[in-house]
Amino acid sequence: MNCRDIAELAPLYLSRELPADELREFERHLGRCRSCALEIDQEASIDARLRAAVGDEMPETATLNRAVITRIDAVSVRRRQFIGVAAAVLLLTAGGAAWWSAHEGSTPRPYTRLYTDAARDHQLEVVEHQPRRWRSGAAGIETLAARYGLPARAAATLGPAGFRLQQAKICGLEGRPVLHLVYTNGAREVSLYLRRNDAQDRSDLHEAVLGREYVDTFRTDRFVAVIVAQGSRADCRQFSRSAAVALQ
Amino acid sequence: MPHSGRLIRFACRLTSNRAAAEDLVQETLLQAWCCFHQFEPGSNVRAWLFRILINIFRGQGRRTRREGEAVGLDSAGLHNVIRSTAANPGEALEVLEALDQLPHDHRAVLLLAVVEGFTCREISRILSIPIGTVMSRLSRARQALREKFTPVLSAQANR
Repeated sequence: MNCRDIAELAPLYLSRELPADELREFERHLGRCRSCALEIDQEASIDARLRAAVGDEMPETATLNRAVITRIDAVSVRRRQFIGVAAAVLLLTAGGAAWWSAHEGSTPRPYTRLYTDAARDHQLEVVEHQPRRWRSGAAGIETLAARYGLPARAAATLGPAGFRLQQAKICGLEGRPVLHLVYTNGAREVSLYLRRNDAQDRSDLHEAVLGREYVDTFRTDRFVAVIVAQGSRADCRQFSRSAAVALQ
Repeated sequence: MPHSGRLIRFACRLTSNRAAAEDLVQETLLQAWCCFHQFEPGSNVRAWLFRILINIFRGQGRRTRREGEAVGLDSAGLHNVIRSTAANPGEALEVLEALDQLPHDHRAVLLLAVVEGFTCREISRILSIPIGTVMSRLSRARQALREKFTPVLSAQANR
């Protein structure tokens, strides 16, 4: 083997895929060529740095897992076609058998994607505070709210006593723009997502629990609303009632 | 779900955007559920899931280019939302930033090989490209990172 062969075969060497005879030749060359040995050392060092940087990351997946199961639930009307398939894949899923048993006979739920999108958005933007362009001044929030058909000063009065409007922006749920309002009582934050009920949708609405997010929804003739609160079903319900009354 | 952590970690690094990564993994797991009849018993489930993820990512890329949208990068937020337990967070951040500067195809092979521990042959199947292409992309990706870290590596070699 020459230096060119070493450069070419380095990826297979580093992933331990070289056959025994080639491995012996490869290492023999490294033993007598300082330049190639240094190259391989540096590549191994880069790999170790990358593994240390990426390999130790611990992404939180509870919300994501719930969202996936909810979406599977939504398409479960087709489960008869896939019953053997689904049983197999659920075996790959921790707790899959229990979920299957609990959801046997369920019908597809409307707004499923709306719930999961809202729960994820709240988790990322409100709980984890990913950087976003929020409007926090009263005038800026009023301008956004007016675009969604809210009467003047209505946004500030949608929450129950003790909650004040903190910030607002436009975000996307189900691929459609919605008004995202965030309220706080000083200790906890609640998201209210609002869009016009253009289609005069009459589908049933539900409560949902997605990971640590409690999600509630209501609909008036003019609006479809989704409320998300982390860790507190009481906050979610109280907020939902208050906003529903204010928007009637 | 046993593989969702690895998938989301890979997708975060591939897309540089946590929300896009979660969408990608949701679509991947949903598609895996719907297409499980295509899974070959006895083959590697993890490799199969990564293959689905890559195919969806490529499809999204084509759609994005067709629609003329800008790809949303969110690297500033990304480092905050992934909790790193690396011994040297400063160095880890430098490595991740250098990784984010690589083209997607180079980044994908490097992550699959080094972080996910797939062999070049497995990567060739996951990405549906010849093994020679995997090897050359791996070499070029490592070379790009080495150039970035040459001063550090040289100092180490001289110790």
